[in-house]
Amino acid sequence: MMISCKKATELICQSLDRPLSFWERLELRLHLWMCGGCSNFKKQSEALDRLLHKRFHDLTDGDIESELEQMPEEVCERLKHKLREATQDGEASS
Amino acid sequence: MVERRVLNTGKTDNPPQASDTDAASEPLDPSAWVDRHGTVMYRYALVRVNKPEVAEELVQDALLAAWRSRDKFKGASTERTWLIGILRHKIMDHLRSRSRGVGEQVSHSDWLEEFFDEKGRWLRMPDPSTVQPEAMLEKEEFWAVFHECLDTLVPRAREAFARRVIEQEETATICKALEVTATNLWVILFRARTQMRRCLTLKWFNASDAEPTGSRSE
Repeated sequence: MMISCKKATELICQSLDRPLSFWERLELRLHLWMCGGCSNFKKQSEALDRLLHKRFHDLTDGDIESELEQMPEEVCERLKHKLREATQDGEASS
Repeated sequence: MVERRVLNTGKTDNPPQASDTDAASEPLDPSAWVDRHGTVMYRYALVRVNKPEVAEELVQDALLAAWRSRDKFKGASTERTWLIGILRHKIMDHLRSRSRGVGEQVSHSDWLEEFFDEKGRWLRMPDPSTVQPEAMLEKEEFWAVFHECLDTLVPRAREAFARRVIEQEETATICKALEVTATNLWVILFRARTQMRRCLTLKWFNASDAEPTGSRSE
């Protein structure tokens, strides 16, 4: 008995969050063997997860500012102003 | 910010020095932090909370917290990693205080009708020529499109997606934070991923296989 594409996509997504059972793996493999659409869905979903995480990981240590839209000028000014205000006489507080 | 306390803690006149002498090369000035890391921090916060004013407040809180504990920064990590770490905690606190009691029903099947017929077959087959994640992520407008798509998710799905996919948190941790069962979380994530994939595809390629066939349920 073949599982449906609907069921297969569900298993594909869940495999990113939990280990599938033996039978689930078997059902899924059988389905993917027959179904190009779901095979593409699987590739795309896995790639998207991997790449999105990488993109965000790069945020913290990569030099990617050039790609980022700068924060609005007024936000920048407000932040600086508030920080100056809070740190000038808060110097001694901890 | 009502943090204008003038305390005498023994370190009165001079601003405290960072622990090491060579730290002098890193001027501890929060305004400089804004210049150096502000944009990254702001964009990072915006991914997790979709309101600009909240993102701004969180960045501000994080920078202030960093300033107060600046002598704990030993240079073991980069300045940015350190600041983002503090920001992440602020975001988590914020979301924790807010997500309680968001008791939205998790329906398992109705939304899937947008993608599958009654026999569970694709209405439009995913086609490798139209959805290429690598190509998507290299486009210049990545961040703008990504935000637009994140905004189509309901708050809890967005939160789950960000925690799981972006931060790669354990599912058990996320279940606890969102107060949902594991089964519910899988459904939420299944839906979020499917929606994100469709949205990103639509925005970048106008690809037909990702076109919604029904209206999105909010």
